[in-house]
Amino acid sequence: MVRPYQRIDTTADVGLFSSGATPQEMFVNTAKGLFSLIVPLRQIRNRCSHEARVEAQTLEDLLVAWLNELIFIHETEGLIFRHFTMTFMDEKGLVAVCSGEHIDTKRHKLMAEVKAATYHRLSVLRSPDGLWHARVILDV
Amino acid sequence: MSIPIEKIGPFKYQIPITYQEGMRVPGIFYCDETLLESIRRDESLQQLANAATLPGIVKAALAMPDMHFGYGLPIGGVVATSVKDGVVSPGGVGFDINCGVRIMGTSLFRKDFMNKERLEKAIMALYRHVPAGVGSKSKLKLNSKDQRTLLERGSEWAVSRGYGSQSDLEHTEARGRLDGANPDLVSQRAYDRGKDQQGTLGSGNHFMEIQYVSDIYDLEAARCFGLAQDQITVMIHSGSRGLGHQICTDYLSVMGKAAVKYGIILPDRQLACAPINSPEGQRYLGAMRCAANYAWGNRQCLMHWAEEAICRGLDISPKELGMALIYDVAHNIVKMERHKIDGQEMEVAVHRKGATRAFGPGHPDLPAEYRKTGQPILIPGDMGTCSYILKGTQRAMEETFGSTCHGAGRVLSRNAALKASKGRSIAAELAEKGIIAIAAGRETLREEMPEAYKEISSVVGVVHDAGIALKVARLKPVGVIKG
Repeated sequence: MVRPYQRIDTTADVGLFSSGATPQEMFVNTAKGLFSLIVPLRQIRNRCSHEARVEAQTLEDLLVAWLNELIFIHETEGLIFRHFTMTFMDEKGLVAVCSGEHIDTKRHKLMAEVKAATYHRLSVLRSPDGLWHARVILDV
Repeated sequence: MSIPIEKIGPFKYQIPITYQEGMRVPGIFYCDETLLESIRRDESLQQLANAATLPGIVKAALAMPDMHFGYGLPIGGVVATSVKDGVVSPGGVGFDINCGVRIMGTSLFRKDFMNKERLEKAIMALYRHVPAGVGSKSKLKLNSKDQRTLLERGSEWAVSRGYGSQSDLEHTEARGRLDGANPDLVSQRAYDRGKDQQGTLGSGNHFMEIQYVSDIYDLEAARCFGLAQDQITVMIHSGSRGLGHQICTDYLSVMGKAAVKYGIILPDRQLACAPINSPEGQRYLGAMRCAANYAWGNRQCLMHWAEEAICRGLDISPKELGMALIYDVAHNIVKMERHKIDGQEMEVAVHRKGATRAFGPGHPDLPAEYRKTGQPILIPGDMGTCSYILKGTQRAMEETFGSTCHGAGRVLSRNAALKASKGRSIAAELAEKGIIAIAAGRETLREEMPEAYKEISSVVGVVHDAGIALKVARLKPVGVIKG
């Protein structure tokens, strides 16, 4: 069983290695990995949803743009997400519905503030077994 | 492949220009043999060599002994590019634009905190009164006009709103305001991220700390900076928050396209850059200066909340506390400065990323009272050890574009720190040393534990012995709040 996402070590910051049967699933798993750094995912209730739309020139850049969009929504709306549904996705754009709730400092054990997703050591690839994988480093 | 290095001085090493195709200057870094071991363990030397390929770079790509991996330029890196024909790179500044440190002296002494309860009251008051951690909201409500004025005027804006005094401006690098900030070049997304974060500490390695002066190495300079043995000081480490992070993100994308447009070949995408005199370069500079000003406003407001909180916690008046700003320094910034290169004075864009300005005696940009000693340099250590105040030197002007180190630098990743601290209470360990530490984030204390950082005294020892900053005083923490 392939892990949907896992933390990888970098000295200064945090990296994510995520996988999925399709690019869509891999993007969803990377998003879960991102929010797992901010708050334990099991603490997030499904109370509201928010649409995210992102465009980019390549699939790699789309992944960075997707994570940066989620960081933006999280920071400006005070939202944390646990479930993601891709309503549309191709190599150059996606539309997703993200579900979760507003931050409640009494109930949520908040951990890191993520500044940005970076291009450093960024990779998106399909392995011979057909699975999609991504590596992305986040500045925290 | 192991990177070839040559020792060119007692604390100075060089990556020769021949190491990598495209290097225009050598890479020069400061360290000792012990620090070299940890430097070799990450990618920072390769990143220094990459930075040496930037068009218009002058003299050398430099790095300080606290160097470690960063995005593009390593943290601890200093790169100066010719304003005439060089480039500017957001990766040479970092995501947290004008992340920096300020230190305030007080009229209190260590004996005033011998009563543990009193110290606890002061720290708890800071923790309650200063917004810190993920999702914390500012006490300020800024409309769009306020935001624009803040981005143009930095600390001046905060002072005009009653948060601090005119003398605070004198005691802030660049008087807390970079000219040429253009709020029109800041995206709506950056405004949205910064709207509720002015006057908030942030998380990660940002902190507010109560300390005492434990050692004085240079009595004359210490007196000049207003420091005395056992005096209580307060240190703040924070930056430009989400606004600065978003500006960096926005312009990395702009610069990625610009580099292609201007035919600049980059060994690393995070070094994306554009000629300083191109529209893209000028736009980044205009926006970056806005973030720098936002950060100075932020630290100015945080200082005000700190004063209010400590007075409240100890039930004393601001006059009794006697809090006064000693100095405020930026350690992630790019600034236009005049430096002598091969005997010729020229204007260069000095990128300091995890490096502190260290102007020497007589520099006209220093406030009159510090012009004789050189600039106060603030080097925060980890929360269990100590911090240092140093002074700028003429040697730094000659060798490092008036720059020195900025802190300890991480040696353990956050994950490794969590593993190493499993089952331990860092708060209890610090309490045993007499330090009260409180963090808003669940894992912050463990991720930021003392062992996660390089030994600050070795880092400061190297810059002192190399003469690119000289030790003035050492400060030991008694209480810290983190995000």
